[in-house]
Amino acid sequence: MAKEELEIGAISKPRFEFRSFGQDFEEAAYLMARLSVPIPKKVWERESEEIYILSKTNDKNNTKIRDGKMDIKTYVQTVDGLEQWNPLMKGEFPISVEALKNEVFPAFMVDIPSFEKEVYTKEEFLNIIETHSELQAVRVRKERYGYMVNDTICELADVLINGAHVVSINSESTEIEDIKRTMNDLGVSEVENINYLQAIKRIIGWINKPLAN
Amino acid sequence: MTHTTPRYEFRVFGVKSINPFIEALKSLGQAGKVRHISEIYLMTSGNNNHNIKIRNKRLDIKTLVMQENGLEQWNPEEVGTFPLLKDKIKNQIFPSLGVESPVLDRDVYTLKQFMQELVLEDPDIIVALTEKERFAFEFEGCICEYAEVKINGALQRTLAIESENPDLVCRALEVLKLGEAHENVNYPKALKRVLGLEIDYDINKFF
Repeated sequence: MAKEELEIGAISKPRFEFRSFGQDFEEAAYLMARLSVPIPKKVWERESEEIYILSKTNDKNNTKIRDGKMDIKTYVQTVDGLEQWNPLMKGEFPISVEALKNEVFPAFMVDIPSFEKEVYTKEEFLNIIETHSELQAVRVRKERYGYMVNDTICELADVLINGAHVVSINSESTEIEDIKRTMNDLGVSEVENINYLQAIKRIIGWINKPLAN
Repeated sequence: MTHTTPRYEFRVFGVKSINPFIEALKSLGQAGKVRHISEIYLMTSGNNNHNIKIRNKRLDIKTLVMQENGLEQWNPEEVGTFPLLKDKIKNQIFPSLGVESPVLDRDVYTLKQFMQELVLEDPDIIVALTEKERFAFEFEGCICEYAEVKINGALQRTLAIESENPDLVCRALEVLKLGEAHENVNYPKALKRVLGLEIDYDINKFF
């Protein structure tokens, strides 16, 4: 069967992903830039401000707010050390109490609080998060630089997590072998695969493990 | 040697935003030692007045004495080097953390036992592992530094001006054009912000 042609920013089948976080990926970033085919100008550089909602009891659902939308991805499986994530829901604010009860809070895997309104603005939703002992809102600012290596979507990113800087590197595709070849070409085959939830939890001290470097 | 006279301090944290002040300090100050230091900070949401850290198995607590003209005065107190007696842990460390001491089964705790059995087991205590590269300077009669600080692996920069004489700190701030528009942020406050222990009800202001 022919491979699906990936387009950066487009919706595709659930992709497998290698991602890591640390301070120094200079060599891998240089190789990524040199090995990349030309990509559309609109994805050369992207900036975004996001709020990740971290849950002490959840490592399975990636929940964040970007562009005023609640965005949830769910973990599907790990194959050869690569993680596959699938979009679960996107919901606009103001958001209905049904969506909070049936989709958003179940994704946090915490007790569902009592709601007094039918619809919640983003500010009202964040107030619920701030007062919930198992949840924490984390500010994330990303400057992402896009590449395409071995038919995998790659990026290097400068990320501020609650104002502190880390570098992230990633390669993602529906094709596992393409990602593994890319990791090998970039010299990161032995680097730990760390997803956003794990990286943020390590930085905010919820998991006592180091980043990749 | 532990410094015993409380100093007045002004400190800022940032990533790129404080680079102009660092460059000014490098250009105007007299460079001193460069030190690489690993420290463990013990953080809780309720503690704002104690800076509790462990360096080379020695636990120190600095206590905020006063705030005056935008400067902070901290009093250093050396608690001791591990292994530590349970009385010190119960009566000195946990009260400073602002959380209730658990039942202590041992008479003496090594650093490993203290961390594994008391700190990491307590949901109210968050650990910040820091790696600092500190660049010391003397400037306008003050002890100054800038540092690259990894907080649980994430990087911030900090610049500090300290002296026993608050007028000298104010003068140094004036020369560096630092102070009026900048918040004096001490280490516990900066760490709490990265760890998310300082609840940010105005998170929307960032978006």
